[in-house]
Amino acid sequence: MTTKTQTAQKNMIVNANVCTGCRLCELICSLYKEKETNPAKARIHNEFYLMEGMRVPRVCINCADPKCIPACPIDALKKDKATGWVVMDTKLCNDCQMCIGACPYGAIRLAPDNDVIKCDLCGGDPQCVTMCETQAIKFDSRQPQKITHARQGMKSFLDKEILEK
Amino acid sequence: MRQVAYVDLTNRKVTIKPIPEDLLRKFLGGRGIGSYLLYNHTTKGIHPLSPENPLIFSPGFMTGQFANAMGRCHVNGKSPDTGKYGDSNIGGAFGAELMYAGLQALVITGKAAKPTYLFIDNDKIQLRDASKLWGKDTFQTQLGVWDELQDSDVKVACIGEAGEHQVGFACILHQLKRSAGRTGQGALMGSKNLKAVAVRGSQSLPVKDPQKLLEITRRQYEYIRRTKIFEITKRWSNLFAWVVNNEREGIVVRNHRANFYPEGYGHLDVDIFLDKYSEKMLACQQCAMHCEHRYEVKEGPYKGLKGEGPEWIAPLHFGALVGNIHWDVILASFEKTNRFGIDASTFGLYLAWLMDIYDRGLIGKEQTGGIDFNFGSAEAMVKLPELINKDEGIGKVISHGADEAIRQLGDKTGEFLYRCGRGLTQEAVNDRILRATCLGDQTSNRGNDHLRGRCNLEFMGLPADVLSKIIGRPTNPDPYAWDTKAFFAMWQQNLNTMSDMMGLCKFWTQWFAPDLFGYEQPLEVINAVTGWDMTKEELWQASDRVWNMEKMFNVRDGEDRRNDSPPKIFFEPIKEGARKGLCLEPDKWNALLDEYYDLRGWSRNGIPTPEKLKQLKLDKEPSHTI
Repeated sequence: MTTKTQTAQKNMIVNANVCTGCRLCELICSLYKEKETNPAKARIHNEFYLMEGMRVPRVCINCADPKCIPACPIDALKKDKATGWVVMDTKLCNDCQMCIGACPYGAIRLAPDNDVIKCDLCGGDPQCVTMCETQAIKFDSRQPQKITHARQGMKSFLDKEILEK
Repeated sequence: MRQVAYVDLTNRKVTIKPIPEDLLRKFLGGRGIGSYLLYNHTTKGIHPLSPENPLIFSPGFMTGQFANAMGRCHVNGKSPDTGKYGDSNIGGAFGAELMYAGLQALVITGKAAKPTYLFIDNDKIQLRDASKLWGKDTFQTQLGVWDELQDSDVKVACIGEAGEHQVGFACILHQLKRSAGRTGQGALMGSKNLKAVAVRGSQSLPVKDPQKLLEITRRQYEYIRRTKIFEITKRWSNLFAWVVNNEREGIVVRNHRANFYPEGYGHLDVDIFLDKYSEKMLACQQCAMHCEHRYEVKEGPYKGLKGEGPEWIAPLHFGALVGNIHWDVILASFEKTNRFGIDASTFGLYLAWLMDIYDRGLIGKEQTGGIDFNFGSAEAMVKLPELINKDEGIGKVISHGADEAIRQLGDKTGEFLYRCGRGLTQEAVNDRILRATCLGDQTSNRGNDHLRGRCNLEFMGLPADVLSKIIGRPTNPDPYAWDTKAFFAMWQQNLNTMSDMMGLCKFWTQWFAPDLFGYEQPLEVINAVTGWDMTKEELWQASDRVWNMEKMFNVRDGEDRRNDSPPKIFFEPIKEGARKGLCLEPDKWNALLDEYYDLRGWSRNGIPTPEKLKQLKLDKEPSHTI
């Protein structure tokens, strides 16, 4: 059951239908967080489906019922009660990768140095959305009517992915 | 440290070398380092399809970086189509991945003993067996590589059967329509038994001043996205160029029978394409302008066809040029050229030629294998790509050099195959009514080229002070005036060269519209990333240097002023329409060319002087530094 507080919280909203695959989100993420340009170190990943013409942003969308939290053996992942965000304690995290397997959106990533990385919304001012021309990614409150379109895009795509497998 | 990798396919040897910083500063990346490497790794007179001809991939200097629209990759190789300096440029995500794998350039020489593909996995370069991929089209090849490597994040550039058959205008394809199109680099790749280059990289691109780069790229994005041209292009792509140039009688219809195509109204309208076919827009890496259409044909004989593109060359070369007014036929033909790895642009020009000589009764169904080649024939448009791809029938006749095609079809047919002085088929633009554009197009080192020398600003009706400020000296905005146009052409060529060195898409530059990037914006990015103190003058010099480097390649093989000659047809008057009677005048052309050579620092025979080469620090070339 979602509370009033939860629906008013701001969160990452993804609409894969309008994603163009420009990858500017990946590039600003790594530069902002790591001071170097490297999509492999970005907390957001743009997945490419050639024949379907789909480009799908994969990033933590702070699930209401996150699967990564119970998967973590040392409680490095917690849901912040105030913001609703799933927060990773990077000092506690020992890079075991269990959360990567648990996440249904492929939102948690393994960086080249085997560091497990997850979006932290840049502390509340996510940089990636500032470069998204089509608003395929947005930082906005999760009112039901606002996420319907985005959910449609994600759902129809996930249906396809599951059906193909 | 930026690196160049050398792959010797004959001896299965891989070497990686660092690129000295002073060389980088002289040539940057992309077309700069690419033309340097081409000159240094070739000798006079090599055959374009010999193992000695290198195939060179060079991402732009800022490709892969957090930099707007600087994600492109250059391809160099002596052209199998013309036998001259050859190059082409690919968008998409291929070049960026080479950078993430640590490579500013990749030089491929020799010939593999059997079908091979390269897999570049960061610093490991493998030569892998491509026998299962050989014979596949470019889409199936990419899927096949992903399947074998179990990784769809690998970026692939590959050839279709056309390249395998060394078709003179075969291209190298990436994704569904990103192509190294002109000058036949696909044939070069095929001649090496090289089916694909696959790359996956996870290395960081260092940035000297990350805060500054963040500020610069954000600011430049915020500025560009508010321009009118950005707003139009993000939905239309550059299809408006088709409309604008048709209205100006600046196009070629039915292989030069006319220069205006009113038959297209109500059929080839861009609105029809947007409403009926374009589903959404996609983008190259690092570009917010997202100008690539994703289309689907929902009804008619080609129902179910899906793909990406097209750009203005499609309604032009697959529409007006060949007398076709149907969008779905354009898409059906265009999709095949992409899938088979055939340059769409050159395909349209050869098709127009065949239709013209068929119409004149110089060839018939005996030569075309029973296919109707009248202007507008959908049958020809859809069947010819298949024949080219398989190197069969009339496809085979046109795929191994223009001279060979003319020899086979009859000398009289040669009169109607329009080529510029470097032998490249003439794009369907009515250059005879333009000045700076005609000069800039026709003196381009790979042959007539709207991407290397077209001066779009020439006919935008800009106020004189606005145009002059952009060019940097007083420039006459009258498109029919001859004065000040020689420098205008040179300025344009240098700007476009700089763009190709940077990996910058020309849709973001003053090639496309007056309020877009000049030299200043890329320069800001260079200095923030490298920590250099490069000036605008130095960057201009570097672009001038690269233009001259390409010229040296052609001069070494014996070219001179005679190669800077527009097709004869431009000296003939327009037969009908509002511009009836207009033509390029030989004495005016020659005077303009003289002025251009003087400005370039070349002799009146079009040869760079020793002083010019010394000034550009090219006098020691080939220096064999890398």
